[in-house]
Amino acid sequence: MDRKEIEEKVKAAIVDKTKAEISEIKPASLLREELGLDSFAAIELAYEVEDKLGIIISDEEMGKLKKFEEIVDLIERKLASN
Amino acid sequence: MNKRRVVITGLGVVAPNGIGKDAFWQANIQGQSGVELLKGFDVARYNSKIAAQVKDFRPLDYLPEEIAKRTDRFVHLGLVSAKMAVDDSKLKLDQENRTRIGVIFGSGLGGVLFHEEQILAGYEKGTHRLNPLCVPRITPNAVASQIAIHFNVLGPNMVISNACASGTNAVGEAYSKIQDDKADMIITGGCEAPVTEFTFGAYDAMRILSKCNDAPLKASRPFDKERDGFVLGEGGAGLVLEELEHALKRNAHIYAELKGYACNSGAYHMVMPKPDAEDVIRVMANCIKDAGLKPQDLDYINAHGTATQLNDKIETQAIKEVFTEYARKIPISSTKSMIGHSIGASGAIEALVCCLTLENQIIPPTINYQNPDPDCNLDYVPNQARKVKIQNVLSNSFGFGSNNACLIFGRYDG
Repeated sequence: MDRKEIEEKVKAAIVDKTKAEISEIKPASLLREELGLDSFAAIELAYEVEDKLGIIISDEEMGKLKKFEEIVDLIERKLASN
Repeated sequence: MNKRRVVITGLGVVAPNGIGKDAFWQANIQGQSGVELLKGFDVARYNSKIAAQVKDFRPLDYLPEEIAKRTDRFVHLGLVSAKMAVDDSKLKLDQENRTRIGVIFGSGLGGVLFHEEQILAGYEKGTHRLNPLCVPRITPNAVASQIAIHFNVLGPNMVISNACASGTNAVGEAYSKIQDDKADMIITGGCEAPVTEFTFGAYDAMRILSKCNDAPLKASRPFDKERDGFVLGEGGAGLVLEELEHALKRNAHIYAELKGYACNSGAYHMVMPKPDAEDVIRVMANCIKDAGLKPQDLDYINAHGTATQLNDKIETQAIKEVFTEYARKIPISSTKSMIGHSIGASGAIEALVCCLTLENQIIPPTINYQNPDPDCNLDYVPNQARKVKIQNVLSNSFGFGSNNACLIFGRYDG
């Protein structure tokens, strides 16, 4: 799965859980403040990504993520090491 | 102090024989059954293979996708019924004090479909890998919370889980809240979606479901000598209850006045009805007293009428005791003959039937009534709807665990 595909999957998952529009999600968008991803929506997002992509994201890892591009980076790294 | 009067100003329903109050009512007075061979999973090894399932119901036709996909089917049925009821009431929520509007719904079981799916997923992936939505999707109070969130109503909010009486208790408790000035309006009702592999199997294991698998439409036969158990069903009903002056002020259409409510326990058994019917006699008598009426003032009884041998016999025995010689004259019918028994939804659906009976002055029939039973020898309005003058009606619900509830509705004449 290339980076663009990962980005699209994560964007779709964020739109599904927040009021954000897909067009407003930029690499540097702040997950909580700008996209409205609250702590429970973040847990849902992590579960969905894990379920679909067969990776595990720990609570500590998820807690450190601030920007959209950081989620994509993390998933890319995990998939590469799988 | 005189208690405040309460009227019904909005109705919505999703039932196995009709979606929306008009389709549902037409099906009821035409005696249309919603029972079919069970669809959705393999029933080959169950004793009962039939159910009253809601057909052609697409939650996305009524609900935003982000809600529909995060909620169990029981919430879909409840939230859609509530939406229909609020639409029907023509309430302008933006002009109302939202802290005075509450939600009280009944559900006996909560989100059993998602619960069962997640237990299977837990076996497969491990119970440390469960969906984070498990609790908010499974919990029975999800329906009242989702309704409140949808309408942004901020008053009393709760779900009553009281087996087969849940819906009746919900309407009754909503009535009490308005009477006691704790709210001006309550969106009430009940919903249930129990036609799932485990839950259906659990009812089947009790040997209380009809085995009339060869003739599903004729399976639910309340008060008939050959009755062989109830048909498990699903559905939802919403009712907008409103304080009378509030309804008059906004010129709302009034279907009926809610005049009486009583509930009690027989403290007897988790499944079996009390043989002497003491509890059922008492709850009906208390409800009639609460409404300030006498038995002869009632013109119709919407029976609990499940079609189990024991319920129908005990209910008949109790009606004879409460109504004495008038018991042989008062029309009685069972909505469950057409839509089976939808547990926590049934009392709310039957309350809605009572409102439409008063509105239309037509009593829906007990269908599939063919063989008179010496133990059930009253007027069950067999097979054909009946047009008569109706002023007051009684609705009975008797739940597992000896939990009983009754409501009395009357025509609103000013």
